[in-house]
Amino acid sequence: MARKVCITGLGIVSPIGNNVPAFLASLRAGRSGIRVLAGQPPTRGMRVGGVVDIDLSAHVPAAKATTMDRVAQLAFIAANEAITASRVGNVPPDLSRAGVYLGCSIGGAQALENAYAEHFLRDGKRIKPFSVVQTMANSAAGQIALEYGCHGPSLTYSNACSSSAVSIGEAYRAIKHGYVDCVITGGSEAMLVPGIINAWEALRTLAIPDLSAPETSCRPFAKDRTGLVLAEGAAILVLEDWECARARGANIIAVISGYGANTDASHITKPDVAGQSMTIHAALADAGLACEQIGYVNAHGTATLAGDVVETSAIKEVFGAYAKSLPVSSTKSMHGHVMGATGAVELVATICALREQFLPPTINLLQPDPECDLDYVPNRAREGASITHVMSNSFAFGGSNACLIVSEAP
Amino acid sequence: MSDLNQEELREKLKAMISEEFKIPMDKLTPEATIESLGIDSLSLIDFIFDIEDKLKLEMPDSRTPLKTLADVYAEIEKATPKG
Repeated sequence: MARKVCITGLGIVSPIGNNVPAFLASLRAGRSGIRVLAGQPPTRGMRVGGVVDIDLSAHVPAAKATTMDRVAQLAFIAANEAITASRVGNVPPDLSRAGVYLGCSIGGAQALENAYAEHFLRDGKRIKPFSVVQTMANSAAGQIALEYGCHGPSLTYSNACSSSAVSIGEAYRAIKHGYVDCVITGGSEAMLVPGIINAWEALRTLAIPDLSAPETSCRPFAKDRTGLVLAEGAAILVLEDWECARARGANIIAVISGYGANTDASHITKPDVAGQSMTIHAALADAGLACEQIGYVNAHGTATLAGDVVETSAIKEVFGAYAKSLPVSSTKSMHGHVMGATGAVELVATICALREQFLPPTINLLQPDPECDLDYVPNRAREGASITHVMSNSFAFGGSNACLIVSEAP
Repeated sequence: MSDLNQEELREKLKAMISEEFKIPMDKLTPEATIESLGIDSLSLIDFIFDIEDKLKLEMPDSRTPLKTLADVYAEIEKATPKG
């Protein structure tokens, strides 16, 4: 019999806040975390990104930090917040049997670039012995399992931009179907290093930085959008079997009620209306909800020219006439595209919206696009919402789509 | 080998290990095992790489298990001056 899955802990480290309260405050204020990247060799002028402003050494003990790239350290810090929150209750969750399911698209990007620089530019004999353990994509999952003594499965999903939506969805299924009672899940990404940014620039999908107002460079659904803005960060959720959480008197934040995942198989990068709408349908069916019951959608909304139009079409296809009155926003306008962590970051934003009954805005939406004609909650957060079920979309290169639905705890 | 004699080199290495791993000098006997000193095996390799740079040495490629401080000293003593 399928079990109910709840969220008992949340943690985040992002360009708009290094804990859940700070992140929530930024969502409410419509604050952008996008800025000019320092220390980057510009190939074509200025570069912008969503940078996490944090002193890692204040949060990660030095002996542990030597074995971790920035990507694992961000995850480590977010996990600490989530697990601390989950310990509220008569008894803490039993982490010794917990799984760790994370999403990450690149792995330890800085460690990898350092190793390449040493190999190709210097004598190649001083590649750090920790390069492999810092670079491997599952380093964050391994480090979290090690820190908290989690002996359940640790799995790392690398599905580009849907990595952490998939990791959370698969964690939800693992609990739902009884393979595990508790999973630490989410994602982490830290890839703002010159070589990777250069590769992204070559794809011609990055936003052209706004020279006069760099923080407004990401403009989802706006006529003057020019592309996505790369960002870094981590978001972690503690998921538990509903009965286990209830039995230990846990603080239940919300319930994961639906998950859909599929693959376009139509083009390696071009988004696809049919694929996206199918994954949204699948999540609704899994949740057993009619589309009119969804009160808010956190869009994938990358601000690429093609992506925003395709997602708008997919939402219209699924929600029909109701689409016109359904609030849809892209919080990437504030935190940027956190790649392998973005699904988790946006799910935390979606959960904040549900818990606080407000709608996070799509900022920088000053010029409406006739091809993007939904209610994107432009520029200002909307307070006093009345929402029970909320949705977060994630669509990735490789055609990998995922949709998660979160509901109020009954 | 560097231009230090064996005894001088060992004293210098001991001081560097003490500083790097925050271990009192009196615990750093040659027989002490790396594990008992609480030194992580990868951190030790990282340290040895640093020694090569600081003392301008070049160590031969080796798979000798480094179980005790004496093993570490012996490994470093196999090094040749760089350049």
